[in-house]
Amino acid sequence: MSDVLLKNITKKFGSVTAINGVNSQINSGEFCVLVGPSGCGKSTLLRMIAGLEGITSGDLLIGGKNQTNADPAKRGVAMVFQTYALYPHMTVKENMSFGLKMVGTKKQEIERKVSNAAKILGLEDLLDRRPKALSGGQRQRVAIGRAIVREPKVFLFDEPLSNLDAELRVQMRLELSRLHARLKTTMIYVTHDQVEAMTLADKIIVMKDGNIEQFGAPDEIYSDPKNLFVAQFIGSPKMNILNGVVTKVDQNSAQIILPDFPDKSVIVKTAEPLKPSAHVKLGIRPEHFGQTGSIALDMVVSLVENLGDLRHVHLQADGLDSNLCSLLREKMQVTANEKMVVRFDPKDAFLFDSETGQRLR
Amino acid sequence: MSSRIRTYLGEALVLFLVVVMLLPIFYMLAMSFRSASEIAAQPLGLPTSFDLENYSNAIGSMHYVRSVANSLGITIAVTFVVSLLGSMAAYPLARKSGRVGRVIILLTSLSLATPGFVTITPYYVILNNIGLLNTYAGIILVYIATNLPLAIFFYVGFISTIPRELEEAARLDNCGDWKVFWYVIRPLLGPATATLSLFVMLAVWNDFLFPLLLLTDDSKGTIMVSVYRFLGNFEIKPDKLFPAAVLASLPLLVLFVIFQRRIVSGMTSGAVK
Amino acid sequence: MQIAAKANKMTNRTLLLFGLPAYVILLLFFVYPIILTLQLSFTDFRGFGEADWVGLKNYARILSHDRYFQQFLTTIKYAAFAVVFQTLLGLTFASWLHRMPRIRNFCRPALFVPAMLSTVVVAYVWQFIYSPLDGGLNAALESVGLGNFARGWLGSPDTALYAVVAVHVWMYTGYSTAIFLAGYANISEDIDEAGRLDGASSWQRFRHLEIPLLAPSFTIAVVLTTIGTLKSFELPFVMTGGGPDRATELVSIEIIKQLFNSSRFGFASALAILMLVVVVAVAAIQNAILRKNEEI
Repeated sequence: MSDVLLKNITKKFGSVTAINGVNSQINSGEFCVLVGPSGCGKSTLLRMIAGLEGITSGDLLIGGKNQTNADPAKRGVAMVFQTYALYPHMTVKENMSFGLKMVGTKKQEIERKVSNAAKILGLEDLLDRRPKALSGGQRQRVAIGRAIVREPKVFLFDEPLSNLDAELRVQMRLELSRLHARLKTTMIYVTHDQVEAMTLADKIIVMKDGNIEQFGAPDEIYSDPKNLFVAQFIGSPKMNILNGVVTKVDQNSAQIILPDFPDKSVIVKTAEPLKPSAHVKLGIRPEHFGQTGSIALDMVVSLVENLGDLRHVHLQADGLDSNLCSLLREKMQVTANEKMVVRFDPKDAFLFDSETGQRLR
Repeated sequence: MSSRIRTYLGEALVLFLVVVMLLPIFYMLAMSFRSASEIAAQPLGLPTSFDLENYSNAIGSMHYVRSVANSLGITIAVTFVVSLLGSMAAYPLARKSGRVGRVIILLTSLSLATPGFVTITPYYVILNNIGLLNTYAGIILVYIATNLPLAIFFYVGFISTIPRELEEAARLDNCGDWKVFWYVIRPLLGPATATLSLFVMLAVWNDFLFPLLLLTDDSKGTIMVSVYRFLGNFEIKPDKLFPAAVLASLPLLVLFVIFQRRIVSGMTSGAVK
Repeated sequence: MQIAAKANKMTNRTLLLFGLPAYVILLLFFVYPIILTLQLSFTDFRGFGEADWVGLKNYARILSHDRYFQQFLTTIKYAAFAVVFQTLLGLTFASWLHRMPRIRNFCRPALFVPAMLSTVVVAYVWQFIYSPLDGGLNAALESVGLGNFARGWLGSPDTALYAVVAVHVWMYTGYSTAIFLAGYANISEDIDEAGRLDGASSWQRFRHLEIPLLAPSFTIAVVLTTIGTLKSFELPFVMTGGGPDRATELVSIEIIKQLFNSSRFGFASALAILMLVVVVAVAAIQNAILRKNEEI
């Protein structure tokens, strides 16, 4: 059992609250990604789990044991740092064995564990090198190896891929997935990159301003966001947001007019008891904002980004204060400053409260 | 084309000025091979022969080997203690910002600004009281005290450039404060310690006030005291002065030529971040 | 519930434990000596035997004699000249060498060589260079047709102080140069190139871009030079012994004389305390003024 339980975890730096009473459970063997914009507290939360940052109040349980105030080395966690933090004066082998040596593990035991980890990560030929003589990807592997040899209950990763170039990042992402499949250990992974979050995670925790906005499986977060922030943070390009005003409310639906598009209105399914003339926001993902659907909007193309297989078409309309984006797969000729009719289906639209940003289902 | 010629001219001018700055040192070298009468007859002449008589005289009568050995021994002892105690004190100061740390740093900088002639009287009194006047131990203790603030400053600057993640990784590897220092921080201080030891060497080697008062025994004198006693205060004889000056400077100049990069950058690294 | 974060944060206990040996030494050999000096300054201690409490007599003597006031004035003058010339010369060399990467790596250490010499050695050598009979300076002046300027440099009260200052500047210019060059290394090359593209001449870039951006180097160079100059006494001590006619009599020389020649430890201590106050005050004031300049 190596689940991680966060009970009302709070962190204060002086009068500033960095983590605001966070509750969550990460199940044994799960790959959990903490994601959010910079400054949201995700790294702080990870460091609190590691024991590198004290917990102001609340309880942290690892494998059922209260570790709120335990020594970092005694929590059964291992961490891979963003900068790798390899000991520069030690060889790869010494780097990996240092932690075991410090707890007084027997020599043969260390030898066995290190060579085992080296085999998993393909580091056998590099064991006598110093970190300086390694490439970025190799350093990254050593950092992971250092964590593996300790056979931790929980692996912690603090933005481990952000110092790698784009190609290597994709490759390491795959290796991490494979490693998790092989070790089946609980992993907690911090990133600001929602692509990493979507591809790696069994469970995503979206954070903002020291609070958890939503947690759940990647698909759940993507297809059923709880609020405007999560909806816009997950998914690339960002979800399009249209202003709306409620005009008519029925049993299970509401009619909403779009003030930025004269004479356009949408009937959206919702069980929410909306009041007429209430302000709402309508969210439509770019892949649902294209050439099919019952609602048609007249817009002007402002910019086309060609990605080869598909195109991001950025759109403008009179009175609209933000750019909208449509994801086109069809080989359709689109150029800037042209007019374009964009369609969407009301069933693909998410409804949010204008004031609170909460989802209206 | 003309801008290129201007560049060459500018460089030539600056090189010329730098050479002018070095003239006194060439002068010292040239004069050290000439006899007193030669210098009197022609103050700027070059040596006619590489006569080492001046040198053999100076080496013999200023007990060169013994005083160099004294200076060297004191330097090594001071460096060892200062680098160990200085880095130990510096590690938490570099990592922890708090009122206590600030007070200690302030005190250290105050002691850096304190002239040697302010504290020499009490040093004399203290060493006299504990019976260490005129002993190596006494002067070593004094030099440790006067070089420690520099060492602390130096190491604080250096340690704060070591990434914190290294220590955090070590903490997860079951290291307490002391183990982090001993296994992770201390092994990384090599370059800083090398530079620091050159500083200490410079300070100990070139100082003459402390040994003059605190090491009165002739046989224990350091190199600068030997020079001072050899030349005296009246009527300087050039055939004694120049070889003595060269001999006294030579070991440090050789070190400087070998380590000049490290010394120059070390001298300024603490100064400008 | 507020829990002390013992997990990671270093405690004051560690701070004190790690520093303990160093602090004991600093306490015994820095704090205590200053207290002892202060204490001695109120006595007539002569190096041995009993010290009698004389109250403020030593201080009263210093303040009532013009001679000591003159010594403080000379000390300040000595430091001021040394700091101004050393800083200007160092800045000049640095700005040249910054523009001349080809000769920089030779010139920087070359200028540093004099600082590697012992002040005692430098003092003796320059004393001879300045000497009116066989000295190198007068001979050199004559050989280039400037024989009129030849004089007993250290023998005349008009020139002695400046002659000693010149040696100090000669010795440490390389140090100031290195500090400014380090400052230059911290200025991004892009700024220089942006200035070029904006059409600024070499002088305009120096005046409007480099000088303001070198502010931290100014602070360091000026404060270190000031402290260094106020702390030093070896040059005038060996070269002139304070003469001629007290023209180079710094407070430090008076202290050494009172100690070595007259064994008046008590009086020397009073001078030392006043000198310490001057050093700290000057350094603090400079620091405050120059730091303000650094704020951009």
